Amino acid sequence: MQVNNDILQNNKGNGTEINQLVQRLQKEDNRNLMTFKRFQGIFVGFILVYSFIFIFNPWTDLGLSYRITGVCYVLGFFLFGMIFRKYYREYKAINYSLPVSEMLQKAAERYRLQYRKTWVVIFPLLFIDAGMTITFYQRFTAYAPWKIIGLVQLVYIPTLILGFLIGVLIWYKRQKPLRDAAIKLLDELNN
Amino acid sequence: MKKSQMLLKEQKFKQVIEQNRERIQRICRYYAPRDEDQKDIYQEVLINIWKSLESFRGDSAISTWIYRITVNTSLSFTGKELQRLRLNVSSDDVSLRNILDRESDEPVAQEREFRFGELESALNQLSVIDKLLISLMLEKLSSREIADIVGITEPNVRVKIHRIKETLRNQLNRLGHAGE
Repeated sequence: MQVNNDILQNNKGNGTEINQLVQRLQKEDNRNLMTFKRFQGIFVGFILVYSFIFIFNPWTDLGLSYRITGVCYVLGFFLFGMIFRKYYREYKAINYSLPVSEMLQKAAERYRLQYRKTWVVIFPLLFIDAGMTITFYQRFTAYAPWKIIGLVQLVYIPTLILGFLIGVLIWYKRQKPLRDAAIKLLDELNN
Repeated sequence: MKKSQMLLKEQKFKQVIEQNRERIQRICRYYAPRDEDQKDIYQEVLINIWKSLESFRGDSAISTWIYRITVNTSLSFTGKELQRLRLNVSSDDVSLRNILDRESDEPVAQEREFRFGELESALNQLSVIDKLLISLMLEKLSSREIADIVGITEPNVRVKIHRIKETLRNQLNRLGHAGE
């Protein structure tokens, strides 16, 4: 039988390579955890800074509308942080030790264009939209409120749509083929 | 994770790899013709074993658990190219002859090489799932074990294997007639 000598030599016997691999795996685990903590830190940082400047600020006589803006931004960041945490946990929970059929089902589900799961993103987006609208309204008092609201939406909504379309394009290129392959294999398994 | 837990995990990991290295390497070889890819899949399998180690509760045999991780990782590694997956078998593989249940009329070496080429070609015309089942058959696993790994019922495994054998025989007959 044709033997992959490279693999055998790299992993044979004395365990030195395994020790190196274990160290790399531990580093990888730590790096993943650090990435998660870093992102969480960014969200917590934003929440603290915005809470301090726009909500609890004791030095400046902030109007109620400023404080409402602060609350909107903080809620937006908080919800984004929670959603990120949920997705990170789901990503970490991918289990390769499941039976092949179950693994394929989960892959097909994971790579689905998840309208139902991602709709929750609307809530933080709405809070940030509200925060931005109030901020602009306070800065440009010379303009009619409907003009300010319209202007913010004119920039914000196309930006969101563009982001959504880029997301769909990435899904179509990267994840849809994987989902199609998983579904085809499931069909083969069940027939 | 505490240092003592990490140490235990490390020991368990080393033990599992030590006991199952050849098994993992064989499966990696079936799914990747190129050495580089075999190496990459092997590394990926080790990473997934490491990640899943804490979830192993002993509900199934450790070999079944290892096969699941190796097969799932190999399929995931192939990704978009899955439908073009080639089964990398060797003419020296004694289990290969058993696929067609023809142990008694073993051909002479030169003819066997020729037949191996035909068999390899017929194997690679099978569907991905059939190739997967063949790879597990080459590991001399029972229908029960294959069912546990793939996640379908044992009778279903038997039916599928019977169909694969029929398909292979038909294809080989066709190829044989075409060669005459």
